[in-house]
Amino acid sequence: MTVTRARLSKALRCYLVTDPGVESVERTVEICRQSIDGGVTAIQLRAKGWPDRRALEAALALRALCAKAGVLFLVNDRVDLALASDADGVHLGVEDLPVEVARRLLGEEAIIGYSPEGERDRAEALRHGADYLGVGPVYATATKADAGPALGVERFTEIVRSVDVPVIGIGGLKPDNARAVRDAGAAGFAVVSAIFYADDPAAAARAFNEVWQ
Amino acid sequence: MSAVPRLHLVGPLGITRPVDYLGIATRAAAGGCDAIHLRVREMAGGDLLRLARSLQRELDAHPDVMLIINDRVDVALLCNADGVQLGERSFDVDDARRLTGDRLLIGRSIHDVDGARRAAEVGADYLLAGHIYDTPSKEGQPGRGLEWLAEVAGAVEIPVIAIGGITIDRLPDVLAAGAHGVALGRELLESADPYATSQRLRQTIDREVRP
Repeated sequence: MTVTRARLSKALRCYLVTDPGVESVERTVEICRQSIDGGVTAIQLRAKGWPDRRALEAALALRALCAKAGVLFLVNDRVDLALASDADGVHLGVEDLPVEVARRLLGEEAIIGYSPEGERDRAEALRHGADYLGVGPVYATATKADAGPALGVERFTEIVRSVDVPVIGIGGLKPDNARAVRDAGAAGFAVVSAIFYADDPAAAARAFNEVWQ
Repeated sequence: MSAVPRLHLVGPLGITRPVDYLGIATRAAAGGCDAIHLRVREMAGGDLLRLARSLQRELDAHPDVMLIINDRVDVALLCNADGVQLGERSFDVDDARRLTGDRLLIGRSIHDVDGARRAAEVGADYLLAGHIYDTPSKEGQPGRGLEWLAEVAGAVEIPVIAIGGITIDRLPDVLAAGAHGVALGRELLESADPYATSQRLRQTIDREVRP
């Protein structure tokens, strides 16, 4: 465990989600390494569709990389993968294992993030102990075809103000529109393509961080 | 650790709706299957856990029947399964063991003798070895045969469960080659009467395997 809950808000500032479409473990780790150089503060490994063996290989490499850099390391969906790689926690969605069930295996210390769908789902996740929320799409996005219509900054701001855990904004974020997410009171922002597929991930991460200052 | 089961049902393999599998599995368990596997591809964790728990409830009436979850160690632990089945693309046996301790039986699917030896060395509780006979699910890949099965069984100390094209008629030969037990998929899933078929398989095993 490299990141405690007390430091969670800070660790969520610049949050990179990996894309399983890049199938090479080596390439994935290299992009993450460069992104950390540029100031990424959290990494979530998404390995959906990957063989478990490859996912674990990537998780162990990212675990080591993040621990060294003091970066939060989370695993998407798979609690067993998080446990096997000693990740800081998991990020769950509506279709994944329920938050309280995941907590049973992960323990009190682990960080559990959740991407709610709608108000009731959000309230339930918080009641069951989600440590932070990923809320979006703030803007329209092509990365997740199933993400639904954009919330818009106004609605996003309302949601951030209505909960008492850190919120990260996700969906269609670029350096030039990320400031609105900060101004909404979010702890941070999550991106996939804007950093993961940038020609220079370090420079892309830096550009986001400058906006956030 | 409980003894390794001898008659495994592996499903649903996509040929039935998951919900239908509950019924087949329950009838197979009543007939004498002592291990029910849950192997589904690409099912979200929440759905898989619900399905596993439903299956576990159905199997409540048969406390000696083990529930074995494919791949997902987290789901296996959360539904209080008896085991987890790993393959070549899954976690390694030793990685899984760190999460399960002795709570779960760990089975490893193997397709060659070297793989069998390695799995045994890193602590698998049993092997699922196949496919033994030609089977429609492995079209174009001939069965590895009884000699191969005997070689695998001779190479390791842990129980070997034979899979692939197993039928009642073939069962005595498979057991004679050194298999501890057998696993059936389609052969049982497509049976008109999974209860009766399991019962006949069970009787043959009990007859062939002297205690």
